[in-house]
Amino acid sequence: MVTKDLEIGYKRGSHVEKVVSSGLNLQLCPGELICLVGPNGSGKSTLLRTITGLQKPLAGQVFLHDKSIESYDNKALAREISVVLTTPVQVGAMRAYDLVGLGRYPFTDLFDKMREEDHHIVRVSLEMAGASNLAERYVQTLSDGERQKVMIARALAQEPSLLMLDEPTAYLDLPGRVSVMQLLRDLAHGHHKAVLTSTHDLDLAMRSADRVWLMNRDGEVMQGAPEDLALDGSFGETFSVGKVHFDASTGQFDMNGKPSKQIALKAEGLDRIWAEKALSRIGYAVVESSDVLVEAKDARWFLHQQGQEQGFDTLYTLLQALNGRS
Amino acid sequence: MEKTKHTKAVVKRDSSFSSRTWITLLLIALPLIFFVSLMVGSVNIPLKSVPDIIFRPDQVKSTWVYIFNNYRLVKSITAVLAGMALGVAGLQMQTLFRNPLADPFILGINSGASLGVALVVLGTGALSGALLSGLNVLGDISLAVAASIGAGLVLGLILFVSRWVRNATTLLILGLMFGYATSALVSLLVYFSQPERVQAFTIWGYGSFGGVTWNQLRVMAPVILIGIGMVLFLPKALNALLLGEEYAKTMGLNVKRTRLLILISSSILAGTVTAFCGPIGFLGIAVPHIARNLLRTSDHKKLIPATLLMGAIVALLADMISQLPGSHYILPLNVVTSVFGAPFVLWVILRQRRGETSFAV
Repeated sequence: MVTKDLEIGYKRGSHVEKVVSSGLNLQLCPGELICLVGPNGSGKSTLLRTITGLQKPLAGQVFLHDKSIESYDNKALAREISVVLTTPVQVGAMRAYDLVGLGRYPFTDLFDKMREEDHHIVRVSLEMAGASNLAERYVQTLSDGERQKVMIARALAQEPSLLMLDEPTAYLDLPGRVSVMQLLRDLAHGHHKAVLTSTHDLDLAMRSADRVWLMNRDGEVMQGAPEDLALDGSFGETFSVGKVHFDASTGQFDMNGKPSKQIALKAEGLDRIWAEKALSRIGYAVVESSDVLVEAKDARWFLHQQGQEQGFDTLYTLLQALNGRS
Repeated sequence: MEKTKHTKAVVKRDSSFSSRTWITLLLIALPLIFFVSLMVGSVNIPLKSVPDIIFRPDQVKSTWVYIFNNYRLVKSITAVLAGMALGVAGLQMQTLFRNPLADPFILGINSGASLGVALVVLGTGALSGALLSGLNVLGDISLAVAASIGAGLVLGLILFVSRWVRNATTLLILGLMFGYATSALVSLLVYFSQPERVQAFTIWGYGSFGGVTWNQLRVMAPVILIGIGMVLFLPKALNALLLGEEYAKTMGLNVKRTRLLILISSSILAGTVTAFCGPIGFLGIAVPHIARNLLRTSDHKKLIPATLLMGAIVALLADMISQLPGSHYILPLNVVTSVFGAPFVLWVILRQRRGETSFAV
C-alpha cells in the first residue's frame, strides 16, 4: 500500500475545517509491522481512518495493489483491509466464535450462510490470534486482553492483506500489551500480512516495529526503523516536553531531568545496576570518585560520608537517608 | 478455571439447541393462544364450538357466528400482525441506535404517525363530506400512507440527531420532545375539528385491535407483510451493525443503504399499526428484550423469527387481558400495555445502570 500526496483532515460540507497533515507519501509492505506513534492529538487516528477508507482524504490518494481504494467497492475493500478500532464493542449475548464469524461478512451470501470453508477460516483466525481457547466464551465475560485477541481474530477472518489497529494496547496491562505486540509481529512476519498499528507505547513500539511512522504535532510523518529515528533525533524533537526528555542512549523517556549531585558506587553485577537506577531516580550521577560513597557488602548497603559509615538493609532506607529523611 | 471452561463448552451445545427449541415452542404456542383468543370476550364462545362455527355455522347460535366472523377473527389476526410488526420494528431500532430503550413508542415515532392519522381523520371532513360515514379503501390506504410518512419523518429526524447524540438518556428525552411537539400539532388539529371526528380520534388514541374491519385488514395485512418481508432480508446487516457503524462499514456493509432500509421498514410497520390500531405502547421495546432473554443470543437470524412469534403472542395476551374475561367491560389496550410495559422499561434502565451492556441477557 502506498499513499500519494495524501492530505488528511476534516471537512464540513465542502468547507475544509482542519487540515491535519498533508503531502504524505507513505509505504506499507507485506510482512512488515509498522507502529504509528506520536503525541496525543497529532492526528494518528485521522491518518488510520483515511488509509482504511473510513474517512475521505482532502486531497491525494491511497493506493492498494496499484488501485486507488476509492475504486474498490465496500466488500472488495473489506477483503483487503480489516480493522480493530479503539471503541470497545458491546455486542450483548454473543460468543467469541460468532463474533469472529462476523468477520466473514464480505464473503457470505445475503442470508449469511456460513459454509464449511467459512467455519474453517474462523477456526484458523482464532488460532492465529491465540484465542482458540476463548471460542465458546461469551464476549462480555472476557478480560480486556482476551477481548482484544478475539477482535484481532475477527479482523483476521476477513483475510485481509492489510490489518490496521488503532491503539490496540490502550486498555491492557503490561503483559497484555507485550503479548498483543508479539502477536502483531508474528502476523506480519509469519503470515506475511502488512500490519499497521498506532500506539502510545513508544518503548514497546521501538522494540517490536520493523518501521515506525512518527507523527509530530505539526502533522509531519517521519518513517524509518525505530533506531534510525532515535539516532537522527526525531524522537527527541517530537516527544520532549518540559522536564520529560527522550534519552537517546537508553531509548527511554527520562523524567528526572539532569542529575544535580554526584556519588561513587562500589558494587558488582545486579546490585550495581539497580543501585544506579535508584540513585539516578533521586538525582545522583554515579561517578568514579566522590566524597560520598555507597558500598554493597554482605547483602547490605553502606553509606560513607564525612568519615562516617552507616548501614542500611534496603535501598529504600538508603535513599531516605540520602534525601535527608531517616 | 478448568471447571468453568468445561461448563462453557457444554452450555454451547445446550444453547444452540435451546434457540431452536424456543422458536419451536413459540411456533406451537402461537396457534394455541390464537384459538384461545377467539373464545375470550364479553360473550364467551366455548372452545368446542369453534370448529362448528367454522364448518357448520347453521348448527350454532347465529350471534356466535356473527361475533366470530365479524369481530373475533379479524381482531385476533390484527393482533398477530400488529404484535409482529411492533416487535420487529423495536428490534431493528434497538440494534440501529445501539440503545436498549429504542422503540417506536418511546422515540415518538407513534406521535409522528398520530399526526398523519389526525391529518387524515380530522382533515378529511373538511376536504370532502362524502367520507363522513367512515373511510373507504382509498381512505384506508391514505391513512396507512399518512401514518407511515409521519412515522418516517420523526424517525428520520431522530436518526439525524442521533449521529451527534450517543447518550441513551438524551436520545430518549429527544424522543419525548418530538412526541410533545407532534402532540401539540395534533391538539391544534383537534381543537379546530368537528366534535364527532374528535371523539373517533380520541377512541382511536386508546389503542385497540378490535376496531379494524375486514376491509381495513385487506390494506393493513399486505402492507405489514411487505414491511416484515423487508426485515427478513436484513439479519446479516443487523448483525454487522451490532459492532457499530464504523466496524460494519469496514466489513463491507453499505451503512447508508442499510439505515435507509431500516428506517423505511420500521416506519411502514410502526406507522401502519398506529394508523389502524392506535398508538400502542411498550410492545416494541418489551418483545425484543423478552426474545433476547429467552434465546440468550444477539444473533438476528434467530432473534427476528423469535421476535415475530413473541410479538404476536404478547399482543394476543394483552388483548385478552384487555377484554377482562368474564366481565362486560373492555379496557383500552394501552392501559394494559402500559401497566405491564412501564415497569419493564424501568427494569431495562436499572439493568443498564448496573453497568450491564445494552443488549446483554
